[in-house]
Amino acid sequence: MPEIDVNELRSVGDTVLPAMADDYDGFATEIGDAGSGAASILLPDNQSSGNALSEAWVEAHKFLYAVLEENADSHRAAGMTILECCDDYEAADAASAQDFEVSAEDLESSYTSNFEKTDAGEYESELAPPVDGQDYDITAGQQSYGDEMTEWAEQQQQQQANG
Amino acid sequence: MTKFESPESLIELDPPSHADIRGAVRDLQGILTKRYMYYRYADYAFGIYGDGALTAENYHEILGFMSCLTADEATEFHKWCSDAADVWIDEVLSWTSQILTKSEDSLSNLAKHLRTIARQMETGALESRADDVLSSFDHYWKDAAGDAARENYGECIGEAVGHHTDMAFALANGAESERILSVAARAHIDEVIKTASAALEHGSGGSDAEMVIIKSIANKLTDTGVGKAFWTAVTIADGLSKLDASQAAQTYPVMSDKNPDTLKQEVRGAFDSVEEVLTGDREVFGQSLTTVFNEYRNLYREEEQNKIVPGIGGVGGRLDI
Repeated sequence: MPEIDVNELRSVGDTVLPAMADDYDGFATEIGDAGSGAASILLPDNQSSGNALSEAWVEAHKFLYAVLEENADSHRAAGMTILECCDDYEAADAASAQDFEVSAEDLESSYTSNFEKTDAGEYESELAPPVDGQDYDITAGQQSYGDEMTEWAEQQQQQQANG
Repeated sequence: MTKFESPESLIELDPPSHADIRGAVRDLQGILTKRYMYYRYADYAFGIYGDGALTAENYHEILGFMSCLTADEATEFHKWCSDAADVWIDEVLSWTSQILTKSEDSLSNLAKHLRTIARQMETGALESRADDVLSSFDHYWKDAAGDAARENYGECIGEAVGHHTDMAFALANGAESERILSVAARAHIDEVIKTASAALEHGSGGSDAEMVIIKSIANKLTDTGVGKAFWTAVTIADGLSKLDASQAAQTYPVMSDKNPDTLKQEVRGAFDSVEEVLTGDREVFGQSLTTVFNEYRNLYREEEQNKIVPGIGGVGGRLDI
């Protein structure tokens, strides 16, 4: 019989991880708000001396925002998956299945399915969900900032790898 | 010229405000008018007496021209020169505006706000929750699913929290770096104006104006290890202490001509130097920041995405980032 404490796991699934997801949603919203206000500060018009740092900043900000928002969805999905596992363990227990185990494959497919739900906003939380990372955009006006910097850095890294 | 003794000293640098610099430029009106009057008269006299006939030494001997002007002509001549001084001032003010485009107060507030968020990520509940999750998996989930959850997920959450916190500090330091570069640019422009003013007063003797240091500080950032230490530092002072001001790149814009039109070209040259240094610094800072963030992107892309976005079902490649 595997050593599993369903009550302990259930508290991770229904308390710790949703709270962690809420933390991440909160941080994503805060970072996102800070970034939205930053565009006009960092990217003013009519400037004579380059803006490579702020353009890099905008790309970095978009990445961090997407990561935080995705962490929230992921931890929330993980919590749901753990609760499903707990249900399975208890059902097996009730049926006196001595050697019941959840497989890694089952875990993965449960998580994948739950992540689709949380990514689509299908969950309960008191917090307002942040904008999805893929849809978040702080570009100022019509101009897209930072692509050239990202391209440059990728080329540098490629050269280092080849060198 | 402004010397930055150490990278940390940049924080304490307190050059005149943008408004004060503009005031200092406008204060040049009187002397600019006088210089235009001298040189325009000189141009006139050359026309009359021929090139080489008029020198600084014999200027007063052949000055009869001024005393022959009627009152109206004298007023007109003065206005002509005063207007030229205004144009000079407007041009220099517009060059100044084009460099000092960013609100340092706004950048400072942005940096403080981001640093507050980063500190909340660092000291808030994320880390203890990550510990709780891993501890529960360690003690209470011992089967194949538990092993997979621990290896792919539980053991990665803490590391991911660390990366997220570092990235948030990097954004704070990015905003702070923009502010520091603006302060440094302001210090340089202040020196340019002071040097131009001295040149108008005294002419030759020139200037040893050096656009120094910031560029060489930024150059240290091309070292990936130094770059990462700088960007993820919890305070900008900590970050700057990772850098080194020992290799000063220097340019020497010279301003030595009393002739306002010639001097304006020299001032333009000095502004070009400031712009070049500032543009170069921003590129090095920007490339360094991008390099550091590309490491995080690569972690995510190269099958280690659980260190950035932990998922209990292993690695799936969800984000297009």
